[in-house]
Amino acid sequence: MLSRWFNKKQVSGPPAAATGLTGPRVPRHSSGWAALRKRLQAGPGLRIIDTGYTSPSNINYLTSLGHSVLMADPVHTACTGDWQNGVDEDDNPIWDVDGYLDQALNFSGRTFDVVLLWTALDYLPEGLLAPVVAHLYSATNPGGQVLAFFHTRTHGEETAHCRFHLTAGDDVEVQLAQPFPIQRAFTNRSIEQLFAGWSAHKQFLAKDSVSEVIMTR
Amino acid sequence: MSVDNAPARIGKTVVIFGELKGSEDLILDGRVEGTVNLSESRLTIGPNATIVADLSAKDVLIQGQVKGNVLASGRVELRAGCKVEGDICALRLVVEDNAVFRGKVDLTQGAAKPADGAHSSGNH
Repeated sequence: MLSRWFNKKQVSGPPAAATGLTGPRVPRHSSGWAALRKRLQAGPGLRIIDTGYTSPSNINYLTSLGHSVLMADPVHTACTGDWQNGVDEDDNPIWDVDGYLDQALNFSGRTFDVVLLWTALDYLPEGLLAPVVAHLYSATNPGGQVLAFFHTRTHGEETAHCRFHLTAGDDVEVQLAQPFPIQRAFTNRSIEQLFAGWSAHKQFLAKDSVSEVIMTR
Repeated sequence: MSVDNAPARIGKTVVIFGELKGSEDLILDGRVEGTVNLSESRLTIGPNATIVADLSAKDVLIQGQVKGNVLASGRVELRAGCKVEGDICALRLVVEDNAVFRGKVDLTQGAAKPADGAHSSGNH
């Protein structure tokens, strides 16, 4: 499906913009979204974080259900900011973690019930990965849930950085976002290790080389 | 000739530091740092505007850059090309494609009505 969309992109329309979202939205069935949507539809009043480029449809959908939504774009901030402060004696990069979190994920002490992380963790620099997950843990209420997608490969057109848009059904819509390089492909084990300490971990079958997980705090 | 119904306008070269208050519609296209309070009127942030201020009005339409919270008793519109960083609390929110927004949204009406979707033109 994505290859047909890429082919269409090459033969029609203006060149892709360097920022923002481009091209059509391609529907993709998401078992993780289908499961989470039940919770969102159960009643209003949840606090939700949605990550990625501004998605009017996500804002509209979530607020129409009576929830409040905070928009954040941790990947864009990580990949366009200067967060590396040199290297240590082993030549490992030193990251300004506090500065990055203050700019990318400043919640002003608020806590949340749901985090739509999408594929963000696949594109973050290694030094920011664990701090982001720890920060989300501290910003999530007990019982709060994170929906995250993980690429199972680091090569191929499906690893393009995309935005995910919510729908009222079991599909999410996938749209090309600002191109950032994929940093890693998670295994089930590495996902479990990254989210060690979270109370529950539910994985959904991988589709299009993207697996879906709902972590519960 | 009287132009009583025309909104007041702050041009793109004007810079204001401090508190802006009023009871008429206002178009801001310059730079403002501080607070803007038009409790019963419409506030338009023009495409050239750079605002570092909390905004409060009946309706707010944003085309430029805003860093600050937005409080509206009516409707907030984020037009394509705008950039907003701050929290929005409004009765209704309209966000166009290619508007950039980072912050929290609280709609005071909750789930009572479906919200507006993205618009492809700037007409209103």
